[in-house]
Amino acid sequence: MLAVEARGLTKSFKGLVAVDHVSLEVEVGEVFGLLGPNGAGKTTTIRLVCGLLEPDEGWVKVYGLDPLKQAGEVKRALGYMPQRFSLYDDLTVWENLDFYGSVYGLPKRERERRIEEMVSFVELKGFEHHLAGKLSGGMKQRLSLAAALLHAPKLLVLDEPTAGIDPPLRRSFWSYFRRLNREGVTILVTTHYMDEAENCGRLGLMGGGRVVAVGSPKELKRSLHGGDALELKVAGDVREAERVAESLSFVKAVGREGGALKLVVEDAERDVPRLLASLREASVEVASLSRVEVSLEDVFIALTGGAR
Amino acid sequence: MRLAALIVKELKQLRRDVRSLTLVVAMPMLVMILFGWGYGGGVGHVPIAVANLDPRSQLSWEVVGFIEQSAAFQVEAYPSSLEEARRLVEAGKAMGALVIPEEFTQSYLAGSAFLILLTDESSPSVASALRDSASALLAYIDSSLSSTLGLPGPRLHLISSTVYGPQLERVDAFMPVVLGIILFLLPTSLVSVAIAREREKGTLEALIASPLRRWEVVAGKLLAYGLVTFIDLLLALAVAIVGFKVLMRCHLLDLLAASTLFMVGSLGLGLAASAVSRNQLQAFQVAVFIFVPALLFCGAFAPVEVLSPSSRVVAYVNPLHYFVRALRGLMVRGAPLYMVLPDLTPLLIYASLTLTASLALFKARVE
Repeated sequence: MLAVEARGLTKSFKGLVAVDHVSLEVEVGEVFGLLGPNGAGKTTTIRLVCGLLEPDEGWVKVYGLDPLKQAGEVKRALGYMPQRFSLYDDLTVWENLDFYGSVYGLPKRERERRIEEMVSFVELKGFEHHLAGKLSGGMKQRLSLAAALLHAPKLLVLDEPTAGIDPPLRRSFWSYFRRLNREGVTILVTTHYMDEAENCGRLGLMGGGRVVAVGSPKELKRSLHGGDALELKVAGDVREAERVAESLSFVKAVGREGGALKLVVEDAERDVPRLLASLREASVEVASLSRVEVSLEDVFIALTGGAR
Repeated sequence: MRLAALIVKELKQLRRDVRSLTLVVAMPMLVMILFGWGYGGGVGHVPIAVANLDPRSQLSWEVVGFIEQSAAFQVEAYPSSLEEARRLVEAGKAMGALVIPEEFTQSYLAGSAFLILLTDESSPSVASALRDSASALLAYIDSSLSSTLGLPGPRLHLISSTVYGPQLERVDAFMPVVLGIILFLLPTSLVSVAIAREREKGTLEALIASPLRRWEVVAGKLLAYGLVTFIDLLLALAVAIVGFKVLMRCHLLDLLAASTLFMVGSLGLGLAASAVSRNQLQAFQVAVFIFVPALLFCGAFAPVEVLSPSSRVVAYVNPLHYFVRALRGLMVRGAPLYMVLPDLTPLLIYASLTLTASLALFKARVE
């Protein structure tokens, strides 16, 4: 069974299409990221998944259940951390967690044990009796995470958990997520930080309300050129090298760029030694062969036509 | 248990919100104190007129002397006839008049005399307070006179006569109106911000992402604020009854039952306003906006019967109007609860409508 399955999910607000026929599959046990700029429709998608919005078209299932019709079960199965701080400023850290623990039906003894656990997990020990409103931004985010985790959900849904917090804290958030994932929690996370997205097992790239591509970060980068891009510089005649490259079956594209040669191979790790061997056989002297680094941003721009 | 958690949460939040808390605790008491101070009878120095129609006897002037010395009254005028005394009361220049009739001394010496008290029944609470004070004063005068003259008492009686002053119906039984204002404004203003605040602060998102059901969220608010306003009601009544000895002819439980019914309706109205508002300010404005016409058409300023016929419909859909009527029946006329059922029924409809509306309007969705 899939943790999340969405088909043709569509939602508009006052004629503005926020989510446009989105289909998604989040497998149990993976970290799935929705990557895209602000306004791409990530939050709306997430809210549709959590049953906080009703889709205009299409459907979504969480562990095979309808988030609107089987709201109770779905809401217990998932832990949701909204983008905006959604706990009570005028309650203390402990009171907030105690409230949500009760709301999720945890009995008193278990509630206290879970609060202790979660407070130390997100490193808020010693702040239990501080008012939530008095906490720093990063601490609020950690409190939100603790609240989402309190009832030990199978699926953790995080909407921009690291937006607006400093890089060290962002790293520690990702270490929390990895730890949770190792313990078996499926994670659906949105972000607009390209670098952060590399932490995800699979990514859905979103732009203009659509999911434009899905795959692992590696697969997505390969998709930009249809493989791994290489740059070859030779000492001798570049045309000879070009002829050799074109004759090889694993080389998918060849192009000249100034004095250098641009190649796309299926898989750099496998194909680079074969390429070098063939060049040596044809007595082409290689001056340099380097990998052309592709960032997710390049992919993103190529796929969405730079629409940001 | 989830509901209990919601109620505890609301109460904790209210406790931390000093401004709201001050409003909650002080507003009803303050209104009641101001009202009792300004309008309440029985606190003393009520302006009255004294007419001595037996001016040639020394005894009658002694009675006048007693009245002048009494802390309960302030003698404002000395009319020389019953008609003049009545006119003074009717004109509102005196809240009441004590009249010593002709041949008062003769009757007194013969064994039984009476004094006439004229009261303005358009303010029943003042009239009743006047009656109480006058009876007490008369008993005192009676015993003082009999001991100094060495005559066996009691020999003095009070005859009450009522007058309807010019403010008839206008100041008619203000107590129900004041209670109505408190029970309208306090619950609506408190609860109207309750859901709107969750929406404004973003806390609604986590709340509706939780397994809580819609009705639980609404009921949690309702019960928490219901409890708070009920305590307020008791405080306000304590001030009115104990502090100002306001006229209350009915059973306290009957009064509480009618008041609670109206209060629940107000809570429902506030919740409905809250459910349709995007932020706290808007919700508050909706509540106040409804309050103004409700006050104008409740019969406090002018009886509904004198309003232009077409506008009366506003009064007929105005819950405050029915509440004031019900309370007048209970407190002033001393009617039992079932007698004011015609006014309680609209209140019951009002409460069920607003509660249903608040549940229907509160969308457990984000926008």
